Amino acid sequence: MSTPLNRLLEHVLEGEPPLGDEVDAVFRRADRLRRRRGHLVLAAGVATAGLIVSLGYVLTTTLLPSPPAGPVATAAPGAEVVAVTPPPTPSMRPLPTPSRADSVLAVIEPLVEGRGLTVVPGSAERGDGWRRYGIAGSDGRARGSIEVGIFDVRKKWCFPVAADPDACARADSTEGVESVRYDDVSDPDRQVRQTIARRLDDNRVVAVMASGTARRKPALTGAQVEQVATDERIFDAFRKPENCNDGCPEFGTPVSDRLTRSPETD
Amino acid sequence: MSGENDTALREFVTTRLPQLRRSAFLMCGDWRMATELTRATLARLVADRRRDAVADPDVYVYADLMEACRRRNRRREHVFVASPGAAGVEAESILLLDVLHKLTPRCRAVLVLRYWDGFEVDATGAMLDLDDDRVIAYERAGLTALEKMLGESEEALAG
Repeated sequence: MSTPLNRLLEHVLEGEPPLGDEVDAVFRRADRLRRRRGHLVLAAGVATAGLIVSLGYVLTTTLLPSPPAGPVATAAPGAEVVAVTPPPTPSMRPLPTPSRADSVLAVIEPLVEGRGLTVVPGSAERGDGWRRYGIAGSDGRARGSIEVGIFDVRKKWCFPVAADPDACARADSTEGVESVRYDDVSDPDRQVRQTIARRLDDNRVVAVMASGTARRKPALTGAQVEQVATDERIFDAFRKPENCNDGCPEFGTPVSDRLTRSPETD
Repeated sequence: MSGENDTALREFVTTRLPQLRRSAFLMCGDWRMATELTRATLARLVADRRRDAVADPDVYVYADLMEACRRRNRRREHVFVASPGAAGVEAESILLLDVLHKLTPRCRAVLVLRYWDGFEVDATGAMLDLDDDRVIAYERAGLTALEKMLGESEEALAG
């Protein structure tokens, strides 16, 4: 190029439009930009906070175990009651299928509620061959508990006699289920109503115990405890391999160590 | 310019604006677009300078402007747009702009910064994020291509 490039470029710029108030326009635009950036920072902060909250919620709901589901008192008539998730008790072993319906509760709850009491939501505990439910009065005060256990026994097992460890009790028999009541309300601090029942075609024995607390009567009457223990749904609520074992409640009249004896009258 | 007030910023904008707009025009060939890009670049400078986020204002504005022109040119099909109401533009000027725009954007930016704005090789490299050797290589290639294309165009015009 014979002419320097900068000289050539000068000619290109001929016809340049006037600047006008371009400097003021620059500063007005800078102010708008600053405001927009401020809004963006604010929005980013809000979005970040929202994200953190959402993330925390998602992590909490997915990683932490869900709280125990209380009894479904509002379930529609005929609807199956939702299983109660056991709280983390060290001596307790979770069932293989903890989410299945709690048939034991389905038997107990109507009787409890019929007496103006409630099964405390979230109080249910369960283990291999046993269930435990906390009971409260209408005033919210504790009314003891109801415990149910199932025991795998030998064919010639006999019902115990509370006063004589070597004797066998004579059982009442109704519709294929024989049972014996063991009510003991002599101690005001520990009133117990218990029934042990055995289904005739089954090698399993069910023990149901309603115990009061602090000079308050048990939540169920002796007849109601017997009604529960002889209800076939209770037997069916436990799977065959289940046997009241680890964490099994301490029943007023023990079941599992009975030997074969001749039946006597209790 | 650290700690300076708006008066010093306004003075900087006032002195640099005309030259920046011409550089933008050489890059994009459109006075309206050049004005818009220059205004946007200087507004960003003012905003960032007010929060002390700019080390070298000249490097900042030229680097920002060249990048903005490069991005904007990707979408352009025309080469030269005169300002509204401007007098007739000489054919040689249009020819030079046409030839200039046949160069790659980076090569064009090197020639504009070196020969129109008069920056040294290292300053040009800082503005375009290139090392010195690359700036020199772009410059040499740009000049050669420019000279060749101008010669061919002049011959075509004369013929």
